Amino acid sequence: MTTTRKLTMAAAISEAISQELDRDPEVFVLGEDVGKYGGIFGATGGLLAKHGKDRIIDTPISETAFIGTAIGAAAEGMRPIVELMFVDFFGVCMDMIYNHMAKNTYMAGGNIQLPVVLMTAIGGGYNDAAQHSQCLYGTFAHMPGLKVVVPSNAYDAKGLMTQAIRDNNPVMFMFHKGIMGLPWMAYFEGSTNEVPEEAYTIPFGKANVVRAGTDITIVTLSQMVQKAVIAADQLAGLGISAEVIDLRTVVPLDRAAVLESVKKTGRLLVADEDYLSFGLSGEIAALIAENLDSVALKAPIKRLAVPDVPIPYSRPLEQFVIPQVDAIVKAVQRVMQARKPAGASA
Amino acid sequence: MNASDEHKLWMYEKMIEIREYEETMAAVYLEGKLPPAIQRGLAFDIGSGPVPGEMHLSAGQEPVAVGVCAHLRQEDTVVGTHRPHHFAIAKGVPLKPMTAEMFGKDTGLGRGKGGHMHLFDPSHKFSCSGIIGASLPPACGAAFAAKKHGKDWVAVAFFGDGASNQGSFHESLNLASIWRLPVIFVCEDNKYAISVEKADSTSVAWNADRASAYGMPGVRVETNDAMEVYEAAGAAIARARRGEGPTLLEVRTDRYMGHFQGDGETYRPKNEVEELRKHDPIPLLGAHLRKHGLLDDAKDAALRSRVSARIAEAYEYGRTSPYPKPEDALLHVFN
Amino acid sequence: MINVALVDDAWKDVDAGVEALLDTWQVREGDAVKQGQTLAVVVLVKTSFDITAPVDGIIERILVAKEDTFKRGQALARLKASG
Repeated sequence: MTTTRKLTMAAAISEAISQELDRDPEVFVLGEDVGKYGGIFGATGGLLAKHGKDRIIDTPISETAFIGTAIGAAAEGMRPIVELMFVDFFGVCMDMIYNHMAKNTYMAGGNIQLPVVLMTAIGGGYNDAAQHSQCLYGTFAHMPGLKVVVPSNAYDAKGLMTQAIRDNNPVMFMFHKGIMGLPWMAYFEGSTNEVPEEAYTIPFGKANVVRAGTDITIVTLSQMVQKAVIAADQLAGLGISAEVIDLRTVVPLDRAAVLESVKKTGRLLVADEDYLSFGLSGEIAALIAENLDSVALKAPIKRLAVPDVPIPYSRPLEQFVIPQVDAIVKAVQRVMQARKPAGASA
Repeated sequence: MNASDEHKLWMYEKMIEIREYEETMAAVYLEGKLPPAIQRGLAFDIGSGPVPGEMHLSAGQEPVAVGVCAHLRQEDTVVGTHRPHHFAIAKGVPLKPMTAEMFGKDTGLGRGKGGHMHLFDPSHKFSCSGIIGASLPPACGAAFAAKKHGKDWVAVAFFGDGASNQGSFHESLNLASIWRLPVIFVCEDNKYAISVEKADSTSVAWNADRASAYGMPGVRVETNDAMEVYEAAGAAIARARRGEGPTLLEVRTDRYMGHFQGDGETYRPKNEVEELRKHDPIPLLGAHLRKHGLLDDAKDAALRSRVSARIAEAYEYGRTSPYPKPEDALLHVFN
Repeated sequence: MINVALVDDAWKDVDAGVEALLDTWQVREGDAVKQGQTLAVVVLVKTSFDITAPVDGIIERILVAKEDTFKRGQALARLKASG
């Protein structure tokens, strides 16, 4: 029987990487401050000491060059894990990501493979303003050719990272800073949980029913899962049974799990920390709309997300735009009180 | 070009102002962030307190800001970095709205929306960004506009040693050169890009040597000395005003505090900062001023007292100004 | 009996009243430890420190739990010296 212990999400990610570094000599890590510093958000903590500077490589501030290097090395059979310090910095290197990493396999008719893991820090809530607080999984999911993985807790993070490293395709691994369990940022404690010592994988495209319920489905991911669970507890006290679905991966998306749940509850709230329009929450809503022949809605779908503004710095402004626990509770209550959709049966 | 007495005194007072501002901010920043005032299980809470989020302070780097900005007029443009306070103060950005912005207040430069890395003061032609290397292209734009409008105004892009390896650096230098733009690129070399030393990231010992690859002069200032920066910057700015195009200026300076406040700096040798402070540029300039009869104890005390009063007033303004209304978050996406 | 604590020097530039975090324990009560062995990792503001055993001995009591904070000079554990 393997022993379990609780790990922070940061420790779980670095453990997954470490075990794969031990298992496969082609795996290596590169990025800014991943070595000596252990990664700005702890994702590579302790790895330099264990695996040495030939496998944990600190780069200059040259994202295009080092992400391009990861792509070229992957084409030669290596398995790079490259860190983009903040997802918001994608602007300086997006060509390498979406014109090359995402598309080369397709343009080559499947004749090449690019086993790159591009890991990056996402999320706000600690006043880091517009250029350091975004989620953007919607943006990356929108461009074909990238798998998009967004863990909400340590157990999932280790399994998903191991899966990502072993996957022969480019994977965006997006970890929310506010659930890494860092000793310098308030985090939701549900994200630090029991993690087996041995290596294990979690398949992509399999959402997790974090909490079963009957009145409404909350589809969510990343830090928002933790907020949704707290909201669900509060709602239970108000007599509302909320089911919380943690998507875990945006690409591939577990559409079946979402449909199954909404068929059961008849109500849907998408709780998303990314921007509202033209993104993930719209995708989930479209999924239901396309399946109204088999899903009966008791209320219109509701989406809670950042209201199409850059993330502001000041605390009252940031708390207003990034959905908080009480916003989730209020949104669910409004859905429960809503009129039935036109043409819906009683 | 040697500094006039007036400029020397201005630089001295500004450096004192910057240093005291940063030291004050270092203490204020920690308010509300440390145990026992925070969530259990944390040693520090970045999102708590009156000035939450990240904070990058420029103590030690004052000469770069004052040595360059001493030559600038209000209509010249400065684009700064994620560590912007010394540039903003030297450019004349008023302390009260700047401080209010860092407290997230409605009276701040950005009505609380930008915060400390995103300070915009159009009346003083000052802006900055949290993205490394993002200062160079917009500075080219300001220079382009000045040229188009037939003005002898200049633009200055400040950036760090780390930024010189970012694509925008190379593109901007090339563009400014072929278009002969009145822009001065100032590289603040404080040796570190967070934890990575310049020697481990940069293919040349001096970024100034990269200038020739882009057809422009490259100038090195090897000591953290305001008057040396003044001299080199003066020549570059005069060149630009005469229509002779861009210059790359590199200054070796010292970062006394962490990359960001709360940075444990375990990557730095233990006594490094102590050693660097022995060459503090402020007493260095002070000694020069005294030697030339421009400063004595009484004048120094009066100057420092003025500075302290201005800073105290700014922080009080920041603390007591009102927050914006939460729904104001929806405003100002577009004009 | 020896009180194991974070060296006073670590608290040098830290404001009075600020506490440090006990991040992890590497040992348990009853464990035999050797001089220099890391007993715990603590974080003060943002710097991590290893707390090491000053002498060989046995951990008698753990006084500050993981994720709790502690003050300057506060004992983190009691170590019974052996030999």
